[in-house]
Amino acid sequence: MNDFWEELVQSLGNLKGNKTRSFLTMLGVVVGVMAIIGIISIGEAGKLSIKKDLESFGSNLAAIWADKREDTVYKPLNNYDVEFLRSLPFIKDVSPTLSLYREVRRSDKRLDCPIMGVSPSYFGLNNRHIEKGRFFSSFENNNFRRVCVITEGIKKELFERHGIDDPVGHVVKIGDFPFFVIGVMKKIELQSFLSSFVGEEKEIYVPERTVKTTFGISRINYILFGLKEGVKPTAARKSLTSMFRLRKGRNTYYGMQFVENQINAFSSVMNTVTMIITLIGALSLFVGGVGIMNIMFISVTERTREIGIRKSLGATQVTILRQFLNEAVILSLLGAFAGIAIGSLVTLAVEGVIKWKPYISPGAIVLSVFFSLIIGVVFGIIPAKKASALHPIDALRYE
Amino acid sequence: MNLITLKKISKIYKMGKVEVPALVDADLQIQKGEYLAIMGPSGSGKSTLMNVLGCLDVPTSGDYFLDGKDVGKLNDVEMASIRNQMIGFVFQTFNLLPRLNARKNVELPLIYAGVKRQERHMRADKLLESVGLSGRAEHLPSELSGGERQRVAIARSLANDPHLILADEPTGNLDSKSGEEIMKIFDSLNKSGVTIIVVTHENFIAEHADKSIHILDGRIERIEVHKK
Ligand SMILES: Nc1ncnc2c1ncn2[C@@H]1O[C@H](COP(=O)(O)OP(=O)(O)OP(=O)(O)O)[C@@H](O)[C@H]1O
Ligand SMILES: [Mg+2]
Repeated sequence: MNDFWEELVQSLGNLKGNKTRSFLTMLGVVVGVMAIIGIISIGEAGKLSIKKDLESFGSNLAAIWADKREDTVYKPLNNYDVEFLRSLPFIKDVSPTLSLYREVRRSDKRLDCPIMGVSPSYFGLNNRHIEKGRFFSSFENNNFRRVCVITEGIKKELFERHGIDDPVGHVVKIGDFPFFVIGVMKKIELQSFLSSFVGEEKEIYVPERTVKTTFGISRINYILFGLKEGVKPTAARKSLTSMFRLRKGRNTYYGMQFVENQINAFSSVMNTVTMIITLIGALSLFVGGVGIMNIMFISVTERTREIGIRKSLGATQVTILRQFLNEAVILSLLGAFAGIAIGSLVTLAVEGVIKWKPYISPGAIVLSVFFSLIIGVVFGIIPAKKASALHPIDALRYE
Repeated sequence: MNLITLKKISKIYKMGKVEVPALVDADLQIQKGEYLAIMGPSGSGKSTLMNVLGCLDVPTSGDYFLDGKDVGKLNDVEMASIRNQMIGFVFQTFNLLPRLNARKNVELPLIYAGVKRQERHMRADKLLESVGLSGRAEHLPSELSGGERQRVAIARSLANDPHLILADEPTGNLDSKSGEEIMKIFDSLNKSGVTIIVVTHENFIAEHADKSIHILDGRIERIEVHKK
């Protein structure tokens, strides 16, 4: 009776004796497991790549801007606010951002494009890298130098199309003023669908102080800043709100945005989506389980005589219970393994088509095996109990 | 000492409001090593009596002592163990498992007795040899003749060296020649000390036994001792 292998071999024999039915029984579980494997894997892979992209913007990055609400007045940010932010102990780095539109020319080429006035720390805060040349320095900013860093789009339009591969050292005219091109920015490399939002950048970056002196514009659109390691966005928002009320007046309002919050918000949305989808997978597993139960009931009825014979030869209730439970669990586990195999292949194919790194969630595999085991036991036990409770003589007489 | 003692055993089937008395106040004592035939017309209660004796069915009333144990007081595991160790069944319809070959069928009681694979295999082959089926171990029941199937069933009933063989019309589905062969096996088993109870309609089968118990309408009418 302790011969587990013998029981297993006999159960397998019984299942093999009715291949079509065993297969149909497993189908529900196979489909459920496939759904779980595919959806969780693709969901997790997508989540990971999007999270990585968001983090590539700098996960401690934040912005503050002047805003107006019904009961407040609009009071723009100024240089003193920049200096104030810079002096705060929980803030690492600060850059004001002024933006304006100007016509940009090089010899006879013209282009209307946004000009961004920023301080040198802007590039570090945004995790941007240089492709050619260099970023501008604090010295250049403090001395109102007319230098600029251009983006890929500008390089294409004003230089590459006209046979110049390296714009560094050339001069462009922004409005009426000549600026030296000192660097070209590297493109932002994104793997997720976020890349379609970014597109090709067509901006020119110049020192913010130069913007003020050259174009006479001093209105700061927003101030970018980086939080120091370990500072919580919620805490930063709270103290900044009250400090700006004090500085700017009780009737002002300043909007704030924290990348870390965005990442968290995104993650929690993704987690909810994953959970719902897992639930759907679990539901289809449940339906598969009901299928197993139905088939097991039919099987018990069909094999009533067999149960009687086994009991007449010395099988106890427990032995019979175990035999039928084994069969249910084997069916659901075989279904799970088939589902994992097929589901993984489908997932890898899908990931290949959308050009993601191949990824199968190990958690999803563990989850499906675990679920299937439970389903086999839960749905196998009722028919197995029915089988084991049969009286030997009633079972033997059954036609 | 008696192997079997029945005291006022009754079995009454309730079919809605109608009560069908299949066995009425049966008193019976059977000694170890006896060879017994149970006879009676169809529907008289022979099978009912056999099933009670074999612990496959529970009587409506009365006491049944088997080898000194009060069967009415045993639980499922103890009953299963008695069916496994003490008793061997031989049925009219053989009752082999169709998907298992002859050897596997014979091994079933050994599996439930916890005998290890290798020894099981050996003992099953020996048992098949003893009923003259050494070449048929790998055959499925559907690949055997009726007489051969019944011999597999007998080999299976002997797997755990039982004290008692209960055979309910073992030759009922066989021609007279195969039937005679089966009875010869029972004869030699009885000679080696096994208690045998055979249900039959046929006088020439009953004559193999020491005694015949005649049943009519669920009652034991008379016990006839055969002179040999
Ligand atoms: N499960 C049952 N439910 C109701 N009545 C039953 C049941 N089993 C047997 N009977 C009745 O009990 C009586 C005895 O049946 P039993 O099978 O013991 O007869 P038997 O002597 O073996 O007959 P046969 O020679 O035809 O095999 C019969 O009248 C039968 O109809
Ligand atoms: Mg009968």
